[in-house]
Amino acid sequence: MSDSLRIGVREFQSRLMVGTGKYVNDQLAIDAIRESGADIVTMAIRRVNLGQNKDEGNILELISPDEFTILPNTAGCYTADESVRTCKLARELLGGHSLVKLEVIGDKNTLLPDMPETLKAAKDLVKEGFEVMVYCTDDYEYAVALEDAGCVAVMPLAAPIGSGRGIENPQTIEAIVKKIQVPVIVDAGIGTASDATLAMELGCDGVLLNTAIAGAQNPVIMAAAMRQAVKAGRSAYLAGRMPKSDQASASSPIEGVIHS
Amino acid sequence: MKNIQVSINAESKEIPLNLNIPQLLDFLKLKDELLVVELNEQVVMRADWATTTVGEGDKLEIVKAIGGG
Repeated sequence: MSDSLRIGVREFQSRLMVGTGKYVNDQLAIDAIRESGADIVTMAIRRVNLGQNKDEGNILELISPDEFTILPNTAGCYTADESVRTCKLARELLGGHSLVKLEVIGDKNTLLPDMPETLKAAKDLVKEGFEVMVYCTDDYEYAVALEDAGCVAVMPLAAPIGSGRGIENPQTIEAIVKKIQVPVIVDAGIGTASDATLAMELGCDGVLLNTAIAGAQNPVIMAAAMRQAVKAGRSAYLAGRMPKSDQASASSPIEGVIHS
Repeated sequence: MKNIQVSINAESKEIPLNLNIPQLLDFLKLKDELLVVELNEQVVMRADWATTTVGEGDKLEIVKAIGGG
């Protein structure tokens, strides 16, 4: 059965999206990313080094737009204007590619999004013709406003970036999923496979993570675990779980039990 | 030859007058693939690199993709 993920006009086979940061080396990054089965891979945009080490590699040579859909992010941006500038640079870098991950950070310690600036940036980027996948808090009203602004995916956090704490507010994620028509993708805070499964069981359309794989003891094995976890959670959601009950209910028939 | 002062990635740099973008990247010993250049907060399209000349006091950003989440 085909169960592809549609984001705007694009269609993807994998519902797992992965970042490319924090890997010990490039080979481990590409091995883990391939093992994850992800179609969409995030990257950051940064100044080149003008000093020493001019021969440093370029990640686009390793993780190629021919193999993956590159999702440039605006990580490190604190204002709408900075994030719009970053997206314009990314679009030119990637030959006119307009799919971006918007994140506008409010505080360097918590790395939580600045939602008023995020909403402003989303509106500006949509006006500029970008397809915006937007990282946000799990705030219901902002999720609705971001969809209304024309974002192609709404991406509430599970927990703060890099914290690995898993889904802290499953009820709010579920409420957002029920309301929002565009894909809802849990982005940030996933720690292990069961967190990704829970996100999918709640009805999320996908999961975006980075540190959960890059920071695992064995990233390649964890990448496989995440691939399977997202698929398992999606299948469970589509299957429809059994109702919970306060009472026990025997699985074996009562009749015919031998009694002394 | 006359030199000019510009800002590149927030660093003050002295560069020769009348460099276009490919010549600037060559001067900085940067390979020009997989980079993008912003001049005074406007992206310079690659098609315009050869005809875009850097002037006194210009602010440039030269960026690339790196690993990120």
